[in-house]
Amino acid sequence: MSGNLKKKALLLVAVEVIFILGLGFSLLKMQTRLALETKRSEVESVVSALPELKAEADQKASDEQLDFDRHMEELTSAIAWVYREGIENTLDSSALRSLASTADEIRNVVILKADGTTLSRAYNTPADFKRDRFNALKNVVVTRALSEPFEIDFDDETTIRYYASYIDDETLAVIEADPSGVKSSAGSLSSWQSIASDISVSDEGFITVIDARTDQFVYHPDETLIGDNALAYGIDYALLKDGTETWMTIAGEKVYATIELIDDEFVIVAIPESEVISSRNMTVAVIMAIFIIVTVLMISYAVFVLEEQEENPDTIRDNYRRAGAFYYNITVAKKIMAIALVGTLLIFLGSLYMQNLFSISMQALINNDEALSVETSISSGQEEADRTESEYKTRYLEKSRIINLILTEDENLSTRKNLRKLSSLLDLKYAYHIGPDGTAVATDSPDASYRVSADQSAAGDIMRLLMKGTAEYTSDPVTDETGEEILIAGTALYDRDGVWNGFTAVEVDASELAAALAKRDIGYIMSRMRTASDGIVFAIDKDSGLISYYPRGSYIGRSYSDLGIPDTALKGDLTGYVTIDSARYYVSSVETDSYYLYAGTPESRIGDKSVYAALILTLLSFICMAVICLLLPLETSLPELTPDEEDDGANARFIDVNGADGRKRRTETALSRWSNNAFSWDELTSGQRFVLLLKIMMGIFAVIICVMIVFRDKLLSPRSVFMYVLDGNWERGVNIFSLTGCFLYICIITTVTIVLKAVLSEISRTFDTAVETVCRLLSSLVKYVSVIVALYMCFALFGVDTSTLLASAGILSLVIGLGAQSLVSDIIAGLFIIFEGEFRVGDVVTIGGDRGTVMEISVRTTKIKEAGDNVRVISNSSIGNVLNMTKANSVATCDFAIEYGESLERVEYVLSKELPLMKDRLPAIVDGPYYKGVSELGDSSVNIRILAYCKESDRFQLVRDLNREFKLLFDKYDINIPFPQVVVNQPVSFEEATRWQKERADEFAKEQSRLVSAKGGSAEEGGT
Amino acid sequence: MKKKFIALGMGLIFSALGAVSALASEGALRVGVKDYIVGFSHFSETSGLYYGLEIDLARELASRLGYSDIEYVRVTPDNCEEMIDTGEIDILMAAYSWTELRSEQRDFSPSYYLDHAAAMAAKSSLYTDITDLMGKSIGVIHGSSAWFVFGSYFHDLGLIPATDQDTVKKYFDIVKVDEIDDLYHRLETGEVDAVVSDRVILRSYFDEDKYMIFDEDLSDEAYCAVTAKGSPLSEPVYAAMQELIDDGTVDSLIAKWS
Repeated sequence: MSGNLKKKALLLVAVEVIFILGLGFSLLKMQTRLALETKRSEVESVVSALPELKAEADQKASDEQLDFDRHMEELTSAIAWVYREGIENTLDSSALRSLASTADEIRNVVILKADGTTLSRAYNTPADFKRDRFNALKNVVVTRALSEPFEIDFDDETTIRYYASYIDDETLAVIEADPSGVKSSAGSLSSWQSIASDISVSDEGFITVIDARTDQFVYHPDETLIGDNALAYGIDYALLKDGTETWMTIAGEKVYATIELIDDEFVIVAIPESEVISSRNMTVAVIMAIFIIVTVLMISYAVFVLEEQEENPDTIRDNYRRAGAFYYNITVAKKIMAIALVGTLLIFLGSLYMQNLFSISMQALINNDEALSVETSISSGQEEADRTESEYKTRYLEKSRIINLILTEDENLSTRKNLRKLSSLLDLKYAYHIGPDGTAVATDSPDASYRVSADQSAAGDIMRLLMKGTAEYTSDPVTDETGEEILIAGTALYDRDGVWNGFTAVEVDASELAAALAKRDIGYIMSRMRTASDGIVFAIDKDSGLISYYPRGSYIGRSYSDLGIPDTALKGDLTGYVTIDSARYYVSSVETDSYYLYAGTPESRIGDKSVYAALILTLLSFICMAVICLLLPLETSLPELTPDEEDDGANARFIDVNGADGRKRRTETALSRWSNNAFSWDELTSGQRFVLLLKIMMGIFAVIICVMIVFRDKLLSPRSVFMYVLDGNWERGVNIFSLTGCFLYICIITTVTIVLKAVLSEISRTFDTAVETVCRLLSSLVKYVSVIVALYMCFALFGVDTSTLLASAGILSLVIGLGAQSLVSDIIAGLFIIFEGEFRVGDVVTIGGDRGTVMEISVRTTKIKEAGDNVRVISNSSIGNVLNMTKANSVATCDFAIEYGESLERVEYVLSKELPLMKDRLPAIVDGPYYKGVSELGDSSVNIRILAYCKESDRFQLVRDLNREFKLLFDKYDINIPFPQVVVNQPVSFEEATRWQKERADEFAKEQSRLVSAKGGSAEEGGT
Repeated sequence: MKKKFIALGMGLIFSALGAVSALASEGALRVGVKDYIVGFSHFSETSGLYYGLEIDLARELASRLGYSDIEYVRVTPDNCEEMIDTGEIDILMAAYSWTELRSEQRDFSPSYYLDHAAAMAAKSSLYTDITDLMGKSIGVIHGSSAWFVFGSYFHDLGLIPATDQDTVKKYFDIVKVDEIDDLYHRLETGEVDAVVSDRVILRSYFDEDKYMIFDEDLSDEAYCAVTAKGSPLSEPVYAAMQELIDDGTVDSLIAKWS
């Protein structure tokens, strides 16, 4: 690389860093704005609903207090009436005690003189009624009305609420009541707590309330802060103004606060900064990662190309065009522009994807929270309803009790007039005194001679129940004959001997209870829920499938199918798009004992700004890239030429090949492709470097994501996007979450594969060939398994039923087995080769005549390096007739022929002299050469054998070298090597047989035939 | 002889202690404050911190005086004068108001807050006018001059002949209570019919539903930072407080805490 290029590369890196910082910064700001924008609209809808909710909650709390007060006042007036009418003459405290026992909340009944002197009392009291503090009670003798109730905290445990009613000008009746019951039910932390539980503010947002006068926390999710001074927790008082939207710190947490002044209280709707950040950072990180990868690739590629051009002086000048004082490298520009375009597209898609992923997952989390908060509200509403109902019933019973007490005291009081008075004092419809025979002793009902047996209405049934001697009973609301909802409470009467003597009963209007219960009804509660972003909440009854609540009231009570909700959406853990009332909503659901509760956001509101954000981002990064594209190929002068000191290419792992289209390309040699060695950077072309760099960067990206997933508990906030995807609480199917899930899985699997392969490669390099064989097999196995696992997991995410997938894998394998028999047999054969150890990687083998070194035994094939570094790929099933020639030393054998005429002794003498010298000349010889004697007396030669020990790989060459040595040796010592020669001979004159010889020959012939026949030869002759 | 040594030893120990306390006083400015006046000087059990107008002002004052650190010391109306006189605290800023008598014994800075004494009673007592309190039992905190202020007001109205303690006690049942919480508990249970105190303190115990504070200002109470008579701090405190008043710091702090 030339110095000029180095400078340029450094400059570009600097430019890139500037761009990355710039883009990162603006991206952070934009993303924060975007996140805030979404939150703000959510907060606005909450804030606008607050005054109304506050008023309602206050109303509810004061209603409960009023109900309690009214009840107590009724009882007080009833007690005062008893004394006023002179019915109760004794100021006996036991009489007061029995009056006090009518209701649990009554602690004490006191009869006072107007100056505060106690005439009589049921129990001791901490109060000194003579004090001015009780003037409000004593004043009733003047006003002749009930006193305003008030409360006194005597100590931490004792709080008493006072009620008084006049008896006459001199005396009054006072009730000391315990208000703790109504206090706890009205919400000890003011109405804000119930409001806060009904409202979901974004995701982790919360509401806090500060008293504008004392600056004390009236409400905060952290209850320990309540009552403390808010300014001491870092809230800047200057920011506490109605209608402010600002960043502020509350108890060490930075929040985006919207402040609203409601009734002298600052209500702060706060979105924690961490939520805005967590929503922002992941998106920014991924988009920046894409940007960095693209720009790094662009710059590096340009540098590679420029470097390559510098090495080819022939063409360098063709690449440049002159533009004023500058030279512009057209080739480089073209190449990087292509990358820039693809990169810009990637950034656009990436940011669009991240924005959408983010907003949908956030929405899902918000919806889930909302659905859960509906559930809590409903269950607390149900509890409240139960409590309210039992409270009302108890109160009705207490009214019946006090009438009962009065009548027990004096039966003569049982007159229609008295009962009418009591009815009006106690706010009853009618009061009854029923005798033991079932007829009315007295009643103020229209039917003065009421008979239980004659009453065929629902009320009559309750009366009959009381006739059975039930001590106390309060009925559920029933409809009387006039169609009005009523409720009856009754108490048994006993005479002085304790014998049952009929009962008293009160009939009350049930509409009051119904009204109170209506405020705890699911519809009422859900109509009070405020959702952000035009969201909706609705409920479907599980048993009937009817809509229990829907914002448009006309749908309530109709079937869910009327809204167009599919059957598949009727479940508890739904998270996905559902079409409701012909609009698409992103919906989460929760299942309770009796309802499916849904919270949804309109599709149009999800990520509605993401396209613009993505476009702006793309534009920004496009400008960055354009600048890089402009700068990179620019030169002030033509670059100097640095001719390439190219290596000779003897061991080059890359060679130029002529492609099918006639263009020259560089490719890796077959041998190198399966070798374990790392690449040498210098050998690569710019294109290959680019691909390698891309691979490395993607690998790093995958590893980072993998690390993030593995340590997600530490690295990711529990509500971050990826956490949501990893938790898997979304609908399976082809959607953005499953795609992301696949991507994450692939990252994990890729990382695992990379690591495993690296480890295996390292192991195989360290240990012997047996290990390498297994490592290579494992490595190829890892490849297949990872692909199969990845496919399986992705299918699972896409909602394909994986158990069927597994089952069908059996059938599939059968089909494949038939179709791809050879593949299966290859795999099996491969396994057998390894298990039986026929040969290993590095062995020198001959397989069916192909001799070479084993490079790799993979699942399907075996690769053998032949002479000349060619790679022969043999399918495992066709491997047979294996000759494994891996041994310590091979033997190179040479047979030499010498003439018969040559003296063997002389040859052996020469060999004894020359053989030891030969070893020095031929370094391939490990041991020897040795003379092994005469191997054959041939047709025309005496063959002697020489052998030498050597490495198997050297054997063939050694044989050739030995042959050469012996030829030279024989020449030197005039030892002839026989070779076929045609010798033309002189005619030979053959000798005649003598007479004696002829006679002896005849004789021999005859004798021979005789000898044969004597031994049974005639039989053999077969009658001839 | 032995006794002399012991005396010498004791003397050494005491002077060493004295030196230590002198060092400590150099490090942090010790300011006497009350802990129960919400918005003025209040101690939060939850956060373990003091907060309020006087706390902020004391901090500002300390920094103007060149102290890097400040130590708040809890005082009561009963012991605050003693603590400033004995040097246990350097400055007293505890809703302590200027009177002629007091200014003869201790040095006062310019006033940073003008408060008024008032009377608070339970609503259920059905008082409509402050004269309804004539002859009632009036609770005051021990060591405060509230009874005098109250008596003076009624004297000015011509309802009582003199303002001396005996006369006031003759016409009213003046109940002096040591503990501030006890005082307001007595008002709650009716043991006293009204409490007389400075408005900032009454406000801390005020409950809209239960109590009423009479509109009548019984006196003017000018709160000042107080130092021991002739203390080297007196002059700088005076100057610094004047500066804080002049540059609007005091006003902005009052606005913050009201």
